[in-house]
Amino acid sequence: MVTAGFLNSYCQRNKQSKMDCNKFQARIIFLHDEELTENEKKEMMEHMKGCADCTMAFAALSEALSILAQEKEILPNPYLFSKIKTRLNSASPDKRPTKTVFARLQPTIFILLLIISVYTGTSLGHSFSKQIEIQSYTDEIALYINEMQTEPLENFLLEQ
Amino acid sequence: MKLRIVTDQHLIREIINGDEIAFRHLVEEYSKQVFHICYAIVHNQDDADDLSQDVFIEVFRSISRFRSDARLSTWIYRIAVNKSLNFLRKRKRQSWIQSFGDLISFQQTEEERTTENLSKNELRALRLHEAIDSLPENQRSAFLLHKLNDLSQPEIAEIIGTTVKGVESLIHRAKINLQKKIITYYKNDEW
Ligand SMILES: [Zn+2]
Repeated sequence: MVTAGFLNSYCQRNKQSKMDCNKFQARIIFLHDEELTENEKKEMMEHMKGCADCTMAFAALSEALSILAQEKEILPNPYLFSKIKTRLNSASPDKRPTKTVFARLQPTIFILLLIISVYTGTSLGHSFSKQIEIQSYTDEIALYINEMQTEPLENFLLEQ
Repeated sequence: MKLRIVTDQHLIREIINGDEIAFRHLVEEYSKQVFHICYAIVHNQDDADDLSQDVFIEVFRSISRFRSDARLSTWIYRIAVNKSLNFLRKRKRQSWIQSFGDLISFQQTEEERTTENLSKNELRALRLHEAIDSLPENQRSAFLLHKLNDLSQPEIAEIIGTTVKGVESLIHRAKINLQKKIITYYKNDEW
């Protein structure tokens, strides 16, 4: 039978271990960089022995830092000086491709296009609703004209 | 230290006098560090090579205006940091326009295109660079100069224009932020 005392101590242990994981994961980088005191280091190593999740988190961070260490091994271009000399001797002060006018104006063009498309959209909408109004108005006139066809104006000038 | 200052001043004088060998010596002396600063910030070898050229061209053109009481290395590294950060700012603006273009033409974004065909190691390097790029500029520069260039805290302080205490705090915060990002990637199965 599970007693309240057992549950309490179980939760306490669980809370304790949860807190330990957070504490551990907040210090992994300092453990990796050997910036902890001997006691802190020992405490972290102890935690790792019983916690697979923190061990994996430590492995992930160590891997990330090892990528940075590998990047230190990449060397600059061996022809760096010749390239610099060529650029300094060439007439143009900067040999890197200069941006075209279009590339420079690209952000402005984008914004203008956006404004134009919004404006065109709204004016199209407006003219469509106006067209409906004009349509109904011309229909009314057409009715009168049609009636005039049945009763031509010149007939009024004729003797009955 | 004294010898170094004398050597730097001599080197500067010779370069101003048009001595090509002196300039070559300067490039050879600082090219590795300059390249690593650029590479650490832009994460691309070709761009870092181009930026290294830009750095030394600027050094050559403005060396006559260099204050002799400052350290030559600090001045060169500061140019490298500034050029790389400016390059990154420009690229970010361009990628914003690119992703806007992709969005309106319903194309895959650069991120989707690149992550699809990456190996696990390449993906991890990409995630790491994303995490580094997300750091505030000062934290990023201090952290990278410390991690990749093995520069001392007083030297980093001179380069980014802050105090030694400030550098210490920037590196500490950078490490905590980077750690958070990597652990989040790991927990979300994105590592
Ligand atoms: Zn744990």
